[in-house]
Amino acid sequence: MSENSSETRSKRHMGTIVIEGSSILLDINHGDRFTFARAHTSSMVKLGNVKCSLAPLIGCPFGSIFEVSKDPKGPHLVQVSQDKEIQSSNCNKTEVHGVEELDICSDRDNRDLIDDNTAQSLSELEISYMRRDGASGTKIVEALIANSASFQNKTTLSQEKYKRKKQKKHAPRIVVRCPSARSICEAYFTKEPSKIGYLRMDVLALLLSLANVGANADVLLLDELGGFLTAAVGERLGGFGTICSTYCASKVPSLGMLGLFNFTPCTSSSIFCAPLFELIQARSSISTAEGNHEVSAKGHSSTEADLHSTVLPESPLTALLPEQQTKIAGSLLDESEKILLVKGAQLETRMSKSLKASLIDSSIGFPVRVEMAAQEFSCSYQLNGEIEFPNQCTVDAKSQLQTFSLETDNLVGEGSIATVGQLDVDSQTHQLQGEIKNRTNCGFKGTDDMVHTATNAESKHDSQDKSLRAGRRASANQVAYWGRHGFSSLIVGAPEMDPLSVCKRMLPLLSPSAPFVIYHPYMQPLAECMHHLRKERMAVNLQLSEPWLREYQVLPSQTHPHMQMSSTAGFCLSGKSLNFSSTCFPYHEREL
Amino acid sequence: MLGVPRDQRTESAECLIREGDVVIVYERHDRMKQATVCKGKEFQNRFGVFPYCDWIGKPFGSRVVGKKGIGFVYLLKPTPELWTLVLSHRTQILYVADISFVVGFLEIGPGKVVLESGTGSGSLTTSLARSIAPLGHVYSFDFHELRAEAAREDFKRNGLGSLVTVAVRDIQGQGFPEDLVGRADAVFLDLPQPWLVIPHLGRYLEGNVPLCSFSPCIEQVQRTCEALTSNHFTDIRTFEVLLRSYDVRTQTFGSLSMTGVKEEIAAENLSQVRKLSGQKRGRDGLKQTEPLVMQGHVLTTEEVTNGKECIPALSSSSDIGLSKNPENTGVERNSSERIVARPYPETRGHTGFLTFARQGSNLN
Repeated sequence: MSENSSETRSKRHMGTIVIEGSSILLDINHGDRFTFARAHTSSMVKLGNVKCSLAPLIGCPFGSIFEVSKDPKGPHLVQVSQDKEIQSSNCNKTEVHGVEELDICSDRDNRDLIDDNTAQSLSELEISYMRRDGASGTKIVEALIANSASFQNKTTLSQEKYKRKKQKKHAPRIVVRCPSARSICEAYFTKEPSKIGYLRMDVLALLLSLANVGANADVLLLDELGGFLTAAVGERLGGFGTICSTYCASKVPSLGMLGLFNFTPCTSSSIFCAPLFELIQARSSISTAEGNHEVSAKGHSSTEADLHSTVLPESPLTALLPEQQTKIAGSLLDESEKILLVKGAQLETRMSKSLKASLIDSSIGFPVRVEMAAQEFSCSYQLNGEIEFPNQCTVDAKSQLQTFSLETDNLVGEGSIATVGQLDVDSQTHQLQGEIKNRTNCGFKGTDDMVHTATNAESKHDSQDKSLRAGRRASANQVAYWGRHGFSSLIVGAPEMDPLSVCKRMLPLLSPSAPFVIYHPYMQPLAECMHHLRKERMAVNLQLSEPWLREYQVLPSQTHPHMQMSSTAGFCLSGKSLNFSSTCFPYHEREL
Repeated sequence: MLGVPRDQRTESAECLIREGDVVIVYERHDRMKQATVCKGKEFQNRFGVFPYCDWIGKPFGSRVVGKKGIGFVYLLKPTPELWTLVLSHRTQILYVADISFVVGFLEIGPGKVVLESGTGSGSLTTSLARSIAPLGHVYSFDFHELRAEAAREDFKRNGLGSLVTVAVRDIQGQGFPEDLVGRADAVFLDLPQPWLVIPHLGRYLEGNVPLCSFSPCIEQVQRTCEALTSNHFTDIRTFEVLLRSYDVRTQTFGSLSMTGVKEEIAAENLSQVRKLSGQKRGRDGLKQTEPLVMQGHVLTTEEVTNGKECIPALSSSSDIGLSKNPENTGVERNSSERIVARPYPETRGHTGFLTFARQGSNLN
């Protein structure tokens, strides 16, 4: 026990102090703006219109507060004491509190306020002179107050508000935060919600809970949010258990967001990726090998349902019956589809390699690499050009178009493996290129705002422990293990996928009674999915829910909900997978 | 309830139901119960009688049929979320929306040490335990002896016994025990007067450690925030979180595609309808001004422009659109079902406010 606790304590300290190479999140003015960076003594960060070195941050505990000092040496970050910060940022301190009580009935109000921009006698130019002469932000704020004709007539509340506003502008406060799933989620949700599929922090938390993410879980993910969900699960598991981020063979997953976290090697080494077809194959081959009738029915149903789901969007329950299973067992996949899968896998490996290479290196010259990868893809694809693909996806695509009226751009290449079949090489290549660019933008690098300070040290670091790199390809053994045991939970965050097709393919990969949760920005696809899962008895405990979050300002006599709130953050469909065999057979026919 | 480390797993054995296991019996989407498998006994509900010995050896997720083939239930593996739905309420409990948000915001992960007060029915504690497993620990306190004992018993049954320590203690009056000073990674308070304990929390929280306080009333929140501010906590934020559940079903809708009326009739009807809608506005039982306009609209757009369709003769012009009966209005039942979703008519609108704060990190 004592050993354990000392271990946990040392572990805990790893994440509390900024060290050389740490990924950090700079929270500017309490959530107004966010900037990601990597702390190196040599790296610079752009804050507003000045550039500062990150060196002063190293060795400070997370949660430390800084402000930009503009003395003659040039702008640099200076740590501010907590108490000073508290006094300036929170106005619900006791001394103010005394005044507040009076303030409500104070006779000061805005009846004499004339909003003609004459109240402030200090001009823009004079302020810039002050700044040039090295006046601190606080000094400027003081000068502004002294020169404001209307300040004294304001109520105490609006005086505080005025001060806070000016403070934010002239003396921004920067809090160094440890990037965690929650803080990253909040930062992205504020800055660029589209990059994380409009996933709000409460929804993220809900997904992790509903999927029962906890130590020793084997979590399967379909993560099209730049690897953010994968990383969040990784953080929650802390190296206990395994994570598999899966994808369709024609698609390269971007797990770029993993780079934002300060993962321990232990956590990183638990995160894998594997193409979906491999997982499906592993699951069905295991059951065939065992010769267990019951299990094989379960295993094959995946691929069977797979084909049906694309041919007939509403595959009947009978499709899962074991008699058919055995017949079909030999010809699980179309020959053409098999080849496509294999080729796809090869391409994928190559592409992901080159993509990852480009990610690891600095972003210079990166588009060229992507293009190369895309060309590679198109070449190999042309080799297979003569193969006739089942024209299944038209149905899927069309129905998707009707239901959610997504943009065509989004639809292309998103549907399923077979979508490739309908696309001409050029548009596919083009699409892929675009997609890759998009995807990489989601990642750590390449986004203008998210300041990245790429250095060689980082890529060295990455190549050193390649065997532990987060998001590496799962070994055959690993895949076989998942095939044998099934995953213990599933999280889907694929805003452009049809949830039902995802369920039909992926639920059979779970062990029975495993929880799954699907996040989707639209409700209707989830409602339809829920209906089918219920009708075909593929899952129970189905729940379609919409999370709602409201933040409050709590200040003496000024408590109210925040003016701005997020009006939607998508929907979650959750449920528990079933033991397929037992749902298909009537009780008396089974011998257990 | 917890995952088994890989090296301790047998071939898929952890999914098979064994004697002594806690099972969530899923009866219907809104009806679940907990049961402990015990040979020689039976599980009874309104759907049937289920001998436990039938369950042993079956995988979790199986459907089992009752004696004489009457009734069936699904047997699910317990998770903290399912447990929240089946546990016996000894107090008000927290539900999944709040629980997940607390765990997420406090950034609770494996190896963390969490202090909780009070234990209550153990709904949150179960989720905390899942998150800190296998190396961390939850120290949970409740001033009610019997409640603490019952919670302890629940944790043991769910295999969480080694991860949770439940102690009887009045945290508001006595504060957290001395031996936990400097050990906590997160603190959760569900107390009537959290501001009494906040001044003493600093020593227990080391570094930039977060805390959360749950209070149903805004006045409690107000005082809590004041206490937090005056005790040098930072990042004080208050949230309200809800989960709206949707009812998904199929629904057939009547469509207004009338067939069989010629252009002029349609046009005539339309004018009549408009007149009538004006006249009938005040009459009881016929507050249908809006649908009338809609029907009028449909007449114009569909029938009038699309003259080849035939509308069956309408008995009298005054019938049009005024009756609620679809047959009379020429409204045809569209046979195709649609999948629709709407929130359940009633929902829990508020559970409480969650206030978070961090212990400020000191300058060196």
